[in-house]
Amino acid sequence: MLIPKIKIGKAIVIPLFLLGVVFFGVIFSSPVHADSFLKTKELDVDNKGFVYKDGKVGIGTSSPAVSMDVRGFIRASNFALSFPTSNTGVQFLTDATSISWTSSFINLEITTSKTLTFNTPSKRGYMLLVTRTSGASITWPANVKWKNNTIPPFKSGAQVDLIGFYFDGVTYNAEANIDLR
Amino acid sequence: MKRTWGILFFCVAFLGIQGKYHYAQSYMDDKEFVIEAPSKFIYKRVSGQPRVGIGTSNPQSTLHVLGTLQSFDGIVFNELSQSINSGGSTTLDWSNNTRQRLIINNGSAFSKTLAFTPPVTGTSAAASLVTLVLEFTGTGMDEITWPASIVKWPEATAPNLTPNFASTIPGFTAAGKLDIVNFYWTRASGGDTNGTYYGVTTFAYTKN
Repeated sequence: MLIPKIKIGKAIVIPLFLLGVVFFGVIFSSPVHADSFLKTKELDVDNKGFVYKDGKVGIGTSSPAVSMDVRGFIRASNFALSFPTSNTGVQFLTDATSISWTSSFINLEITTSKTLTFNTPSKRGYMLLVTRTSGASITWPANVKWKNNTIPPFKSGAQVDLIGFYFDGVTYNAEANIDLR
Repeated sequence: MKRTWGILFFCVAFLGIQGKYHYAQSYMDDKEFVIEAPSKFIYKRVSGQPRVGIGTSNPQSTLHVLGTLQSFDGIVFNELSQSINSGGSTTLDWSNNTRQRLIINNGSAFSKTLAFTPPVTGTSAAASLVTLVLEFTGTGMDEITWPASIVKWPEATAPNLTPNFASTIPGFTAAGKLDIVNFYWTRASGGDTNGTYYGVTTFAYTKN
């Protein structure tokens, strides 16, 4: 007999058995809290190949600057933005005049004419969907440049316009699609 | 004998836990773990599929980031392609892929009605860019009927696709040409779950 018989009463065996069941339950029913073995609550796999630090994940970088910072391509079958609890990804603004491109997509509704100002974001593309009531016009920032250096013929009636921008660090190069219905 | 097995059961469970905590690599391959619980980083499986959440303990997709996702080089997408050879209705499910291609193998003209399923289900606020490539391999003049009410076009006019205007230009054929339709899809919180697609079309690219 490989397992030696030990004289222990039911008063001990039953609690031990229950403890075993509880531990198995922990193993199979919930995520492991890695904090217990990540003494600094940081993760470094393959010498900075994959890093977790201060709530941020980096791939190919030891100092991720944003929630997920990939120094290389991202390949995905699909890509969508969904923001159930905040407006940090797609902003829904009403009668705003100061546009901060903290997100790539902004839905702006205006009920009266506005003069817009843009902040200076990262160099990349942005989309602005403008829903305006009749008579509400927009004066664009001076560093917004249009095709042929001509502001598109936005209509005066209630309408929806979709404007794409590429910000090159100085200029917002813009293309407008007018009056989407 | 029973008490012996009870002790053995406890010992195995205890050793399993010890091994689990000290040899992370051995369970990260197929188990779940969380760093700085409850929501800073989590790896888990949902319906057998791996999911990573950053800033959320409940990742809704393979990689779910509540925050900014930044790539130095860009994002490369897979393209979902399907062929259609006859008229009728086809549903494009953008939750499967936000880049899709329809190859229209027509020997003669036919009409096709499209329906869209949004890239993100539910009622939460969301936005995405989706792209449809319409590739024409035949010479017939085809009609595409777009989903009513949820698709918007400049000045409420659906695009006159290549096969249509090809029929009016002598010597120009639609065969081997493709049109690219980009949609800005957006949905307000609590709004129509289907959202709205704002479409912009570019025409008559020559394949390859």
